[in-house]
Amino acid sequence: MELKMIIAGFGGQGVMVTGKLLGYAACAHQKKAMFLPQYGPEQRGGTASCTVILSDDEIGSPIVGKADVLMVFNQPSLEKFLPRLKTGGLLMANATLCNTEHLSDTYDVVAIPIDDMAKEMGARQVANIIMTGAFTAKTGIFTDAEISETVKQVLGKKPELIALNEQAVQKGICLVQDGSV
Amino acid sequence: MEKVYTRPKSMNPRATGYCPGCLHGVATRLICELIDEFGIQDQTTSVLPIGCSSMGVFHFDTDMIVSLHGRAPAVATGVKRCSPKRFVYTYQGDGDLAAIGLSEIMHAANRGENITAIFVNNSIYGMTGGQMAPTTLIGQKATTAQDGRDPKREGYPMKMCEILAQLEAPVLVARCALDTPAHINEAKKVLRQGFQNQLDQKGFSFIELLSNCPTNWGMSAEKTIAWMQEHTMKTFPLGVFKAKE
Amino acid sequence: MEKLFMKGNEAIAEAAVRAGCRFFAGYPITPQNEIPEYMSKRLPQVGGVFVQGESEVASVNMVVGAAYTGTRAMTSSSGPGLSLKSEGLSSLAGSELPAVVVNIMRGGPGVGSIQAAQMDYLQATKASGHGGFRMLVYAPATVQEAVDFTYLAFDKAMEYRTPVLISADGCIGSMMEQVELPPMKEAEKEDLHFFASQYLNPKRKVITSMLPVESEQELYNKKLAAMYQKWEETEFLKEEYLLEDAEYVIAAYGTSARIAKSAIQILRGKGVKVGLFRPITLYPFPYDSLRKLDEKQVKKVLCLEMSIPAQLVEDLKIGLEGRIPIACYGRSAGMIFTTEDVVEEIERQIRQEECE
Repeated sequence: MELKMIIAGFGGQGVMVTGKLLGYAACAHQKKAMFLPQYGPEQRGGTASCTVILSDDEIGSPIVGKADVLMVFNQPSLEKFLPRLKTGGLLMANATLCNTEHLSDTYDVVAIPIDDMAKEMGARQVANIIMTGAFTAKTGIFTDAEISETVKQVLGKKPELIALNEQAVQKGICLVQDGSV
Repeated sequence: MEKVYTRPKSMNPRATGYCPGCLHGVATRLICELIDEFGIQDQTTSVLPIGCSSMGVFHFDTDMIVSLHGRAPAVATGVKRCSPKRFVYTYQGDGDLAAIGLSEIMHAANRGENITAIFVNNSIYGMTGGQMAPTTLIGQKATTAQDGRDPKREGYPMKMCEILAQLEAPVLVARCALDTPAHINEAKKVLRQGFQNQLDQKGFSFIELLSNCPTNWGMSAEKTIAWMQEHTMKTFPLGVFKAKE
Repeated sequence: MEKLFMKGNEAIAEAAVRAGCRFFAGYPITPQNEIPEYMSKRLPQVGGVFVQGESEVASVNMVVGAAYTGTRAMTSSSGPGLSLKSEGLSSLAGSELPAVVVNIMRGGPGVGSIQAAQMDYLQATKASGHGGFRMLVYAPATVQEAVDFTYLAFDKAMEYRTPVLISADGCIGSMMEQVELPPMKEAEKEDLHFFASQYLNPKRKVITSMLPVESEQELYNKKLAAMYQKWEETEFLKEEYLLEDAEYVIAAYGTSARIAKSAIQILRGKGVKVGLFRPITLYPFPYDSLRKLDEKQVKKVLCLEMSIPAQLVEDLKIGLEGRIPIACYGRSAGMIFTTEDVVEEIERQIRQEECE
């Protein structure tokens, strides 16, 4: 198994954190991972993107051409990176900001209004964690326990968010498991 | 008979490479006398730059680094930070310190590196043949300013003590001259303070020594002394510009 | 051993600390900033010293001072900063001072692009400064190799009393991968003795790249030449992958070599006999691998590089001596070829071959 993915969004939407989380999760659970961030010259705002490769074996090229998975948090990122998603690939989009109409003919689309959901939870910053949970459930690359544990370990520095992050992961996982997305 | 005047122990027994009448020899001797007086010959690292002062490699009997042009304060920083017990000083000319090495001296001073910077200012590039230095006086002739320095074209002499004294960190910034025995004695006193500051872990000391260049000024040694008194010291007044307790 | 998920730049910095590095001076420049940032925090924890230099020039000269004290010292930068450091590198080489220098390569020339590239090959291998000196140059292809070669570089620098260069493209610096870190070494200061002392002051340490007597300076030059000769015989490292039956050979280093390997796996799946030659040391260059290639078997060598114009090709020409045609394929300025691009390029080369 090797999964090549692109994650993109506005700066501040947790693009890099999501990519790193998946890398840490792989590392902690006997998989190989590569995380490569792409930054513009801006320190804030602008588009942030990263590529992540998760694999059972040694990772060859760290450069992702056509991706197996595209995870986008806003519409400009969807438009920019969709051409790099392979036909039939998994598109995980933030439905609060992305229009994925007509795309399900070509791609396996999972659209989740993560910003709305996070707002309802009272913590906008966990939107990407909901997506991370959904991604894990959708691909089966990590078990629920594995991803929960990694989220707790990596993001545990903010104790006030531990419970919220845990809820967010579970929300994402449940959405996929109960077939609502 | 008691010997009252002899070559300092830390000065190699050989003729200097300096031109006749050059005051570099006096500066060299003052430093060596102080190294002996403090008893720090074995723990001293002399950091020399490029220019006439690099000839110190023959004169100082201490550990020695001949650095690149202008970089002595950066090299000295590396030495002192790794070996804080060593006594580290730089011995730099005016082209080296005030032109190509301006950045290095400013920032070593600003970091308050615990080193002693000795600046021999003779208002000209000596070794390369009398080119204009940042410290060349208005109207003074140089091989790259043959009608004399024109401030409209070349700007004004840079006053390093006045510039460095603006910084917060240095503990001593002073200008002395090597033209008369009285001034030489005064210079030694100020240099001694610069040495003591470092040994007391106080921080950065900067001592400028006004000097001459008979060869490139194109005058006899005696005339250079008169010129220093009439011109150099008018542009570069002597004194202590900063002394922190 | 525990595996950590680390960013290349930070892994390089930690490897340096574990190799006994206790002095670092550097100046901010993308994409290597995590190295000085990490060092500023880490070195004081182990009794080391970090100085943020006022320039690249000052930083490398601080390393000169630190190296004289026998301290394992390092500086890092990227393209334009390496150019500024070149006088200092020459000074290190000219006065037998050990140091490790890291170049996280970006686009060029000039300010270039801050994105990952391999634009400094010729600078690294032929003339990192004036005066004809060389450095051992290691080009890692993974974060693990970046760690391993940084660790090794400090020993080599001390063994040969020379600056050693880690030449990694920006991908290696920016990416995170799993690494196993080597054990922490004792950081004893070494009591170094210097060539110049015997001529200038035998009882003192005299560090100078300026020997006043011409014949003494020439002796030092000969000493360096003999060392470089020895390196060429003993210090080169290389990787050869599926070369035995290869009809096409990709020559690439660093990240390019990883991309090549992935492309080779796809091409092999299609029945194309293609292999990889990867120099791991860019200097000394492992010419031997190229001399071994059989011109009756190998139809073409493809020089694959994140650089336009191609630079590695100069060493391929020397190694191949005109026996096998060379083609070049590169991207630059942060544009990087994908595995698919390389597959297509090789297929294009094959079609061209068949037309001829």
